[in-house]
Amino acid sequence: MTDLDVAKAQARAPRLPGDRPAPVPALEVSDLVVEFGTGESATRVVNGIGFSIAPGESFALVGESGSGKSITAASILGLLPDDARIASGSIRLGGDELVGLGSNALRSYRGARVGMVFQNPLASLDPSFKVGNQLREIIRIHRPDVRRARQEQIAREWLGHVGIADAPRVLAAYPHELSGGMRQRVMIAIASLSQPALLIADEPTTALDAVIQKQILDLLRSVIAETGSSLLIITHDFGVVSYVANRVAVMKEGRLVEQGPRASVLSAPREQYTRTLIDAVPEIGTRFALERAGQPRRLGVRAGTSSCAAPEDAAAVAIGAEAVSAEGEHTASAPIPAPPILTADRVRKEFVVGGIGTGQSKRSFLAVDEVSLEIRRGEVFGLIGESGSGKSTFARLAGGLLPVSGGAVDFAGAPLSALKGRSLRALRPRFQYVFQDATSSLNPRVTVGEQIVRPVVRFGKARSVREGRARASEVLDLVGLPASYFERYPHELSGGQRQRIGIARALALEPELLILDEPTSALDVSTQATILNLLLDLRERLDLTYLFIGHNLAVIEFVCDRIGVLEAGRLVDVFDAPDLFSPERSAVTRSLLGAILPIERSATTLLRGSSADMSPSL
Amino acid sequence: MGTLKHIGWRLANILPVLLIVSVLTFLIGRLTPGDPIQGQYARTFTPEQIEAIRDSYGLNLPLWQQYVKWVADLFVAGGGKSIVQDAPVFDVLWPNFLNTIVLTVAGVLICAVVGITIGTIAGANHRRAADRFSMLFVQVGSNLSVYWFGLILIWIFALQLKWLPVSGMQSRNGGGFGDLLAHLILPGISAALISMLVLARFTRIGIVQESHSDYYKTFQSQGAGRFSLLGKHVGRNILPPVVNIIGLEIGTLLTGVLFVESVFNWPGIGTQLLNAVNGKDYPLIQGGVVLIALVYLVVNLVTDIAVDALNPRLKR
Repeated sequence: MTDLDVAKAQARAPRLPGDRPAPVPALEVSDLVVEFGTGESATRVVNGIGFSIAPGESFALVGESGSGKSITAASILGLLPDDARIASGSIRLGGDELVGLGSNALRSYRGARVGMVFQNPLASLDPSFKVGNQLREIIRIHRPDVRRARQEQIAREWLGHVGIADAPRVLAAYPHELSGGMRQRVMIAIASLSQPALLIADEPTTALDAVIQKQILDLLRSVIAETGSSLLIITHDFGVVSYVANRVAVMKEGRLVEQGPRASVLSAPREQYTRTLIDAVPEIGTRFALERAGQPRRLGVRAGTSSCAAPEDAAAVAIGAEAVSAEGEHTASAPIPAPPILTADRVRKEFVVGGIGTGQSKRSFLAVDEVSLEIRRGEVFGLIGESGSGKSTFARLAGGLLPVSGGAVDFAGAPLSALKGRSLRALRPRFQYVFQDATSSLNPRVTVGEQIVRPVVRFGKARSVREGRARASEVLDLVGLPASYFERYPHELSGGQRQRIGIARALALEPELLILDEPTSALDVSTQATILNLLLDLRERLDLTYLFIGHNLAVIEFVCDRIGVLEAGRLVDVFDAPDLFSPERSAVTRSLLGAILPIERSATTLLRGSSADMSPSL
Repeated sequence: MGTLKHIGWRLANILPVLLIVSVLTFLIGRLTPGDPIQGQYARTFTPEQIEAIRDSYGLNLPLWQQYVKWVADLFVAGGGKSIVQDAPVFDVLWPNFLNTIVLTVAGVLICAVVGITIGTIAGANHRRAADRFSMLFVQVGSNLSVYWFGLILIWIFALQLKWLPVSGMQSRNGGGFGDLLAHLILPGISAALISMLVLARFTRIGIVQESHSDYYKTFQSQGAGRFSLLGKHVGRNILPPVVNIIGLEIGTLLTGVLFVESVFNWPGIGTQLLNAVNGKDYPLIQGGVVLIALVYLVVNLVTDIAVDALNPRLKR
């Protein structure tokens, strides 16, 4: 019986009250209130929530950023930030009350009874010590009696458990020498080596690629099956919920909106909010289902529902409504022989590291290896690959942000990669970038309006600052933000709003091509949906061409007309979106396809119209 | 192997700096207005005698030849002859230079120990009373001037409490190492004050930042104690910036020492250079500047090598 079977069996067999004495829950949270600050100014971030997790159960706590889900997880072991505190309520771990315990008493529960895996594997190991040292330290905490040789052995065994084959190399490595997925495996080993009764995973895969995400989730499932731990997984993605959880609780603004078994929440959510979150997950085939149903291609727009708005910003509502009322969508996936706007001809990019003054020997690696492709005017071209496949490097080459090492890039007939200085600058307003990290791509000390105006004036798109301001309020309107946002600073905006500013800044120059480098990878699934809808909407209104870089095939398939797949710098596959399932697809494409976490709805979903076609068997 | 290569590279980097320093030092001496031989003694000399003196010191040669001769003198002739004291410059400077180094080392030790301690107390008690109090002390202390602070220390500890000597390096009737230490405390603290507070700030910020890092949470969630979290993980991760700051602050501290010497009547190179400037004794000034520049370079070199050695990304 595999771990999956165990999970299924547990989901299938609910314990009936009175059947036998109910086992003590692994975790029981009741009426929990967490506040930031004290007295009058205190703000409640967790407001009276309660749930319980049975032994061996996988429980998902779902919500958008700011919903209080991570604070809930942190409060269990008393790991709240300095200015936050548990105001009232109870947290019982296997029957022991944890609220009110001093930090010394809590310490005996940390690690030993509850293990935690955090979101960012790149930062959750100490960068200054070797992995082996860190593992041994943790083994020493839990088993102070064992000798060093035995510690070493336990560490090696656990690396084996988490699927690391070359344990000696990993133990002798510093964290920076390991990939993100590898580090998350080490983290899982650290969290579970004391075989705790409860494993808390706080967005364990949000920072990872789709392919790695699935591996890590598989690993979590097998580890809890092996150790018999319960799992509390914090996530914003219903795809993850569908893949690992037995039961789900949905959190919004510090309160639980609803909770229940996975199947019933996924297939028949009682709350509109839950439905919005579920519908925000892009799924393979959704666009074609919508097409057949005569609906515009927007996430969250389902037959019978007109809401596509994520609750995060009301602006999305306006866009959604507009989208619905827009006249029939033109089918861009039909092969219209449009002229190419961007042509890459055997483009190479070699990076040289080391050399004089670095103490390292000089070596080079090929980030982009002879990539040739054509982006046609008016299409959305998707470029997908795992991290390190060279997709972001290619994006930079395509817009002349990096010089090519070989080959050529042409933009609308101009030899972009051969141009320099003034002539390259003259071309720049015609293609613009939107980056993944909306926060760091905005200047924190300049109002967002000013950041839109500056390039407009600089490139001569407006003759005066006043004209630039007029243009800025136009584009703010285009991206669904009120003109009053002009005077705000980036930190006053939410992640989704910041990305809208990033898009507005690009659009202000009236570009023909937008290069979107993972524009939604850092966002919640619900925010991602509003941004994707916005991008689709803008493309129709403004006749834009997109080069869309991503690592999630479901997103790429939903947005793009043609898709290119990169692996280790090489373009291994190019195809039209409808041909995704064609047998000619490369192994890489198929592994990306296999990494998608579809939302498994039960049969009742079939009654809900077009969504029946949305979960193809993979 | 990489490490040795790296150190070699750092050493090689020093050569151009040395060249620039030597040229600048040389020019400082030659381009400043005033002439040692036109001072008050000159009135008693005939023009022929003055010419002879100028010739004997090479002051009539073209500038570049003077430079070459000067550099050569640094190596073979003890930095040339002091105009006022009629002895090789380095022979004149050396004993006082050692005294300055003694005071500087004492200052650096006080700076490192007290600075890191204050910073650790503040950082480990972030936003609590101990932190607020330490930072108040740091705020106030940063605004004191070295002169004033030194005098206040003398007044309190030497004149009122009579715990420590007022000035100088040794008691009149001599005395051993203990006597030296007693003389070192007040000037050491005065010289270290500003750098110590800078270091305290950096240590505090480093501890606060590292305590909010993800790896801290990892070990905290595994039940690691506060001592091991602060001592091992935070300590190791703030070590490179702390070493860097200490290295930078040694320079500041050395500048402070030159002033402190005059307050505490410490027989160091600072006092000597002050006299040399008054007497327009170019060779002595230049020799002193070269010595101090060498200290800066060595400190920077050692700091760079230490910081590199602490960076796991530069290993293997």
